[in-house]
Amino acid sequence: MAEIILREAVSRGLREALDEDERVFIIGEDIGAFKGAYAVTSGFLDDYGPERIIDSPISESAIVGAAIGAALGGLRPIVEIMTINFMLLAMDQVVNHAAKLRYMSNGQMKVPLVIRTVTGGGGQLGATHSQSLEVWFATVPGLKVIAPSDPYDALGLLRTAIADDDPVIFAEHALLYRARSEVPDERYTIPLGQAKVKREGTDVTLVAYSRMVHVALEAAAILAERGMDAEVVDLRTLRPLDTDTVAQSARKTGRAVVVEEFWRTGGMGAEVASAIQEKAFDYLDGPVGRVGGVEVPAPYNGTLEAAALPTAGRVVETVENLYGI
Amino acid sequence: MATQLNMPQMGYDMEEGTVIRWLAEEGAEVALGDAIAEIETDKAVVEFESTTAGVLRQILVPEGATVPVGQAIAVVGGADEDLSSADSPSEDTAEPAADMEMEEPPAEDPAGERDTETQEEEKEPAMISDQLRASPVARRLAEEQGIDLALIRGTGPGGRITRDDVLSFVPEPEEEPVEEPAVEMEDETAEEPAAEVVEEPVEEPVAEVVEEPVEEPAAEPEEEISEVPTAKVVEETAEVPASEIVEEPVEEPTAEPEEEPVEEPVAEIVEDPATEAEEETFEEPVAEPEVEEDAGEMEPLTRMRQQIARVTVRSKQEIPHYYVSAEIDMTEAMSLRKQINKSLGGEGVRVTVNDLVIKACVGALALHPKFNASFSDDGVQMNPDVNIGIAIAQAEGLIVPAIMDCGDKGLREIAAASKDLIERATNGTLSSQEYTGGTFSISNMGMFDIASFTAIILPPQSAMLAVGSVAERAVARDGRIEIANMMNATLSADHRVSDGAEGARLILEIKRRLENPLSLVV
Repeated sequence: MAEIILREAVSRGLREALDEDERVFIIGEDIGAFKGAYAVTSGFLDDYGPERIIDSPISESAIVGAAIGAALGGLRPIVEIMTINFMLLAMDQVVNHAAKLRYMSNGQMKVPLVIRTVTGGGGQLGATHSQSLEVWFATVPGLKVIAPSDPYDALGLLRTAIADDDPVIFAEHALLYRARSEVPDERYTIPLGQAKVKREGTDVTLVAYSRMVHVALEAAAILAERGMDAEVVDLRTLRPLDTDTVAQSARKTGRAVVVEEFWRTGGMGAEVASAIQEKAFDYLDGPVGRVGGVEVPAPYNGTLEAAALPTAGRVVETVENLYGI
Repeated sequence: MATQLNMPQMGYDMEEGTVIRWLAEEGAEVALGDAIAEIETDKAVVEFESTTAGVLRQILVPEGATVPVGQAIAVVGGADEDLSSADSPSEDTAEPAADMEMEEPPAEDPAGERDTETQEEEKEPAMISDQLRASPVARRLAEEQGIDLALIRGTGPGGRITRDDVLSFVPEPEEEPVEEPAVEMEDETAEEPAAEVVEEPVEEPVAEVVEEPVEEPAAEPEEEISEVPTAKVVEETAEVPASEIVEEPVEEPTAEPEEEPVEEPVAEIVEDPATEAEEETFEEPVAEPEVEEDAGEMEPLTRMRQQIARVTVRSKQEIPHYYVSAEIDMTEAMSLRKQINKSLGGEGVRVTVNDLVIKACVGALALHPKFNASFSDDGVQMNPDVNIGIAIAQAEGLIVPAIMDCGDKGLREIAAASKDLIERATNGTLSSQEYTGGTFSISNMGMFDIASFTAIILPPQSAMLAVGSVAERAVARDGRIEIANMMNATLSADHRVSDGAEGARLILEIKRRLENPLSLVV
């Protein structure tokens, strides 16, 4: 067992797949000679060669289209899209082809495709490079969407994603590549659709995923100082969504606040809050709260950007306002 | 399908009306357009016509009751129809039939019973929801433990009974249940209208003091607080991230920059203070006249006084008035008028100075139609007809009914129409169209010894002419002093519609016509 950072965890998972399965290859922009925009595939080109580490042209639609074709043909492609914002250029390939082919062929075809991409804001990259669009993909039946918050989950979930016969979107938060956690040396996997209780508590449930898990944990620490014991639930996968674990926690605490980086309107928080009131209504001691990104295109200015993103302070304030504590 | 007939809006700014008399009884057959009631507005008594044919199934408002515009006053439907689904033809009323604003009919009124019943029914569920403001878990726990939620004092936001409130509740059998604020409010609501019972208009003028519905703008919700804080000056970070190819920022992801919590626009619905304030103001005079020795007597506002206050304040607030004055030599006009009236002899019509002014204005407006128009945010609405409003001072207050369609009328017709209008204003038989249809108005103080004054424009019109008395004055003409019959006129105009130079041209055109009075008869 060693403590590693998230970049290393993803890198390890990819190497394992390349080592174990001849059919696995990686395609994406600047992943080979440049070693990856976020340095995840550093050294891959030397170790696996240009046939399996393919530097693609800057055309997301072509990258995903080629990968879908390869997947249909029996390979197990892993795509890297430099940021989730560029996924919009591949939207038709992802939503209308990758997600649909198995259904529309009555299971005769399958698309074992993993699309790794970088999500989230907070890096002062401006309005077009700071979005959390994994939420959009999480609305599409036929896709699976993963958004891990630490290296342990990232590796365990990446293994499952690569082994999965359906297309999976694997969203890595740009600010989490240096996040650390203990990762066992021996092989383990984490099933999709299982949320995880990151911190146990009795007074309020904070639901989050990806970087917001860390914000929720920070809020929990502040609440603890004020005598309130918060439980933090990490969704880990957005589709399939584990509403049972969330509802179970809400039934225990009687209070819940959902935190997400995406804009509040139509965000995962709406889906989670709805599930909580459906499954835990008689246990709730107040409304289900939501903290989301402020509804503006992400500001470039650092102060403004920070103000547009959920913070521990906002989470604490929401808890206090909703429950009068 | 039964149709609900609502209190009609019969004039600009009309917010409520009084049913003076029902002209049809419940059960009577009514045809489309049949007059079924007499309704008194601020200024007139008007017949209310049925907008549908059928049987007058229900009279919802007793005679003498004042109700807001848009409130149902009767139901017309099939003879045996189930009325539960009565259809309201116009539900877009300003005041959604709020109980508070409905004057209760006098207790002895037979129709009063039904109204009270309706209110009882509506009251019931509200009371339940207020009493039981409790979180779902609190409800469940209370039920499981057999605790009456009404006995628990809620400590959560908005007085919500929380789980802890139930768990920490210790029953105190001897004590009376704590007063529920919710119940108190309910009582007030029930009593409020009764305190403002409007008596028959025939009686004491004091009885006319009526609570006015709150003006619309006051009801506007508070502005939302922007979630984005104002920008502060920030030190530049040394590294400027390259566009797409970026190493992630050096800082640890968990190291969240310190920042102030951003304000959540959650609990911002603020009670409108206007409601309460207004209620108090109007309750006072009814209660007792002798408040303090030094304070003079408070004269209650009559309906008309309130209406005039509303319209003039709105005009002065919304319309940027500008004024242009001219001295008009009426010498020739006066002698022409004398000739005309002599020639009309015993025909019962006499041309007044005001009729001459009207005729001059009609002609001038044809050349300057901007002054016969209404401003709106979408544009200036040019009125196809010229309806000249005449300010008439009555004992109760000022009214400005209009002579309709002056564009084609000759001087004699105008004189006749003007006389008729003033007569009908006196006996209260003006139509609502005459009350509200004016497109340009004239206020004439010629009967007083008034040199000049300025008028407040009557919205939605865009101009008004204030005319002083005709009097002999010394005027300088071609280096000599002459005596002439002079009259001052001042135009008030809406600067959103026209500019001063245009106003000057209009008033000079009026002056030209009055100084060359043959143009008024040709």
